[in-house]
Amino acid sequence: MIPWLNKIRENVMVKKQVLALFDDAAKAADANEAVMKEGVKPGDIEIMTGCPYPEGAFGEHDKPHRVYRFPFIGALLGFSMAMLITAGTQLSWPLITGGKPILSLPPMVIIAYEGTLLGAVLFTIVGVLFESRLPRVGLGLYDDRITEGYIGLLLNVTEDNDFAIKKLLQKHGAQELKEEG
Amino acid sequence: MQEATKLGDKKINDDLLANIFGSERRYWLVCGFLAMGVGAFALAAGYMIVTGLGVTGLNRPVFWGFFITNFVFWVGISHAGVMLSAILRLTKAEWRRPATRAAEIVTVFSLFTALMMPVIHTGRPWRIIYWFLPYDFQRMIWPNIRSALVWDPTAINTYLTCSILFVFVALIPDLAVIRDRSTGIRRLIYSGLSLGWRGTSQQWKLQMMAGVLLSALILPIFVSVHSIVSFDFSMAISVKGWHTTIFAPYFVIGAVHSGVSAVVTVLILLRFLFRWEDYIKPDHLDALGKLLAVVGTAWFFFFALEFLYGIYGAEPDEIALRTTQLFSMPWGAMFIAFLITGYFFPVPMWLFRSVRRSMFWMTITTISVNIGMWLERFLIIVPGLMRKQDLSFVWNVYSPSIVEITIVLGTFCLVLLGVLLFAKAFPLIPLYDIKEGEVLQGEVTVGRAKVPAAFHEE
Amino acid sequence: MKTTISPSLHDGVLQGTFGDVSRDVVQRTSTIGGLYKKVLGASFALTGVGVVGFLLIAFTGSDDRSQWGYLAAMVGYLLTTALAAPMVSIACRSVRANWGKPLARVAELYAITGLGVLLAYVPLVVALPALYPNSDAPRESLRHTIWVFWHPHAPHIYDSLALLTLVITGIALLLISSIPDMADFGAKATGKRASIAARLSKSWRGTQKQWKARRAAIGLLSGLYFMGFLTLHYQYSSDFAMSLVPGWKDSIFPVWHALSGLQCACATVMVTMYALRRWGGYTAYFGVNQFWSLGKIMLALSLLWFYFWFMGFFTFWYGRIPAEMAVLEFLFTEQYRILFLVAFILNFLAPLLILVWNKVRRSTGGPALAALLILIGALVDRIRIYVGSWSIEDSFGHSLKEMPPAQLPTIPDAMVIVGGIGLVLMIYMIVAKVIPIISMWETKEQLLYVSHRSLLKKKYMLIGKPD
Repeated sequence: MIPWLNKIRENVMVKKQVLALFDDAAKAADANEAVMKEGVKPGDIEIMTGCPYPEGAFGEHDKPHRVYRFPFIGALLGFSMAMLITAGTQLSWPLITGGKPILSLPPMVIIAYEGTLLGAVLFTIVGVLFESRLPRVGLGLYDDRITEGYIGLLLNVTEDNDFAIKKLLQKHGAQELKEEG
Repeated sequence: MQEATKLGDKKINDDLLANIFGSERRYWLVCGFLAMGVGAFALAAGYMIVTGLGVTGLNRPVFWGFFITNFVFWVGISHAGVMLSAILRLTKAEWRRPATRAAEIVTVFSLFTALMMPVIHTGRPWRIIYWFLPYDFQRMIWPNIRSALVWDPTAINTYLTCSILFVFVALIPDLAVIRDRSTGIRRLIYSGLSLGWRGTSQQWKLQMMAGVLLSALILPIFVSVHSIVSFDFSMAISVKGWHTTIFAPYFVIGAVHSGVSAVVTVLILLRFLFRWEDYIKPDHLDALGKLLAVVGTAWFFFFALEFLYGIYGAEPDEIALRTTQLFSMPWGAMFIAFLITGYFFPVPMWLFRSVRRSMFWMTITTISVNIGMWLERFLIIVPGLMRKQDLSFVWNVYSPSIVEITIVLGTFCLVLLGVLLFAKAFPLIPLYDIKEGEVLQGEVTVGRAKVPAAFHEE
Repeated sequence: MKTTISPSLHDGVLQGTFGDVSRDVVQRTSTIGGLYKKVLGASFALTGVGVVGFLLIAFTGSDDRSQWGYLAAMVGYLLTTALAAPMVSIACRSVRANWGKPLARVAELYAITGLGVLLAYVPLVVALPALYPNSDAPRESLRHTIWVFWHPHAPHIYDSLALLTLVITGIALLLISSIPDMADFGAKATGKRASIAARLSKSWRGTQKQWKARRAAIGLLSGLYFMGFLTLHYQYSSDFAMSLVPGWKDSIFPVWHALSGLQCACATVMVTMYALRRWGGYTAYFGVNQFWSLGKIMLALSLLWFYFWFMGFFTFWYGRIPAEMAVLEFLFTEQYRILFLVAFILNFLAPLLILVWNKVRRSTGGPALAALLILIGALVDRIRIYVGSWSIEDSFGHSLKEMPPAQLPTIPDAMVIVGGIGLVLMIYMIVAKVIPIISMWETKEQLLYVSHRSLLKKKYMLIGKPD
């Protein structure tokens, strides 16, 4: 089989989203494991919780991200900007004060240090928001009870497995099933 | 450490959001009282700006008095946020959870207030614009980056920006909780503020990562800020007692001492106002008390070094300054009060478990620390300036005017009011942090004893 | 056939029973292998070289005090490394860090090497000049000192007392904390060393009362050791370095000196731990977790090393006071420039660049390499500071009048340096065969409080922290 053709086929087959609500984390974890065994791919499952659980607690797969690159880029930009400003402003009218050279490295380093960290912080925040896909307009299939302690299991289901998956979710203690699409 | 009771997500939300969805009368009473203080502050500051700095006690050569003391004091208080939030987050201290956001908010409001002090102190606040614009456009003479007075606002603005963003990022999941509990216009506002947060695994993972990354990045800023504030003094060679190499870490550790004390005072106030007995427990104060005892002692070590190196070599002018600080009135009395309130009363008290777990004694001791720390800054600034220096042709004593006293007292009301008004719109205890604590809470059984434990990712 | 079950590491968590730990550690302590004999022999030889070097300096050198600069540097280095190492166990115990339990003894065993430091210190205290030649001389023209209005021999008296107190406190801490393990070793092993251990721990029965009293004693002695450590660094760095250089008035210097001590304490323990794991077979006790955790602290201390140095340097540089600029020139930018650069690279840049990467930090080799570089850097730095200070002929007055050239080591100087390291190694290795190098009782505590448990679908580390 041709892999890319397969992928297109899978995407076309996505019919709708189902949100299962659980009042207990253990039930949600069991349900997650069961739907994965049933053939639902990790990329088609989202677990929504009201508080952070340790990574992998629900048996979910790790998703890649590039957050660590952002602070480095920010730091580099911040440092360059600060050096440019400190050097540029002093060179624009060279005036010796306190017996120190016009381009005094230690004071420049102080401002560059702040600039570097400011850049790194700003870019980290941009990176975290970007990788979290925030801001997001509209919540999609969601339930307010998630922030009250319910666990939401959001699944992309196809026509083929729709019925079986819903049954499986109910079997594992889903309190409510919501559908979209 | 943590008492092993589980509250559940709903109760946590109910308790910690109660003030947002309906406040008690005592909350408004306290806010009203503080607002009067802020009003007095605004009137005094306005009067001074209109009339001129002549209404203060400032004179030649004491150009820095109550305002600059207060500036250093509030920058110091602002160090609590990062100290508790970042360091304790990085060291995975479980007891940090209820204290972090309040600490961060104290940071933000005290930094705002601190920034306001030198602006007011200039007498012509609008001229602050020359901090970032050339003050001679024709010749393009820019601010002198070799001056500590340029580094200082740079560092404070960086810290303020980063602290606000740090608070905001950590607030997003809690804003989503308010959104989900609200209707109408309030829901609309919080929907916007929470940026569409849904609490997916990936979002939580990145949120946690942001906490660690930002903590690691903000820590070096935190250390730099008070170091740079100390440069305002230690770079000046003409004032005896200022030009000493230990000033930077001495200021930083002193800031942590006063900042963490302030956070304890605020936490106890919040516990009383919002009935947060289930969240701010004696356990937390106990841990903070131990931390304070260590920080306080470290600060005292630095103070001792600063003082000892003041008299190192018995140089006459240094000895004269120390003699003024110690033996001439009113400075001597202040010096004794500073030592007692800043160290010798609170720190030995914290050695007792019963004191560390008592709301009353922790309030008294932490307020005492901040009285001492305020006096410390005052004693660094004024006696040094008061003495005739190599480059001054006149000397004089300093006594603050009623305008300065009103402004300084008003700043305390301003910071507290800011924190309380923030609590009307946003939760002051991070909901998800408390909930996470419950998820990770475990127990190890050793014989018949049950030892509190926590799950850790390897 | 009887088989010995050794404790092992499983995903960073020590597995085994109390009996396994006792058997394993007792067996390792009672066995003397070929490699041990070789290293001990080498340390004996190095100590001998050091003694010869010392005798050569004492009997063939001039009267000039500058000849003792390298010995002062060596003592300064040992205060910074060997006598600082117990701080690691004190810190780990005070924050109840579970990862630190197996390495507590590795760290505090260094306290016994204080006996060697005391020996090396004696000639220095004889060579150190008095604070002022006579009481009639005007105070302004005298040596700058922390003992402003004290006796002219205040440094001689009080620095010696400070060192003696620290060494006694350290040894007391070591003995008290190792009593349960010595009792275990004494009971389970045979031979002369086991009988010494048994005699030292004779009254130990492990009653609740004894455990409680011992815990309190450890707490008290740890506090005293910490205070003694700070005091000694303050006094030694002031009296044996700063006060010998006119114009050097630097209040941050003692703190920086002590901080460098904490950095080197971690480095010393790290290198020892690596050697024990690599060549001593202690793989079950020193896993990646120990290297990773200690590495993080070492990284933080390396950053602080820079911070404290920069704050001192910058205040002088900015002030531009001639007396302070002369000190900068002498110790940083002219005479001892190369040594300063080497120290700067090895104590700050190299550890930063190595340890900043989590993958490297989370290994055994990376942190050990950084630690080794730190230890080399600290030696170079102590040579810069103490040799420079002792080379100043006239220590009186307010500023440096003449800057002597950098003093290169002679052969006896080099012999003293290697001899000091040999002496510490020799004492450490001998004592490690009487007092078990692994803190068995703390390792057993770790078995009680750290385990793998499931939380929903995954296993995590569950760490208990008793009050």
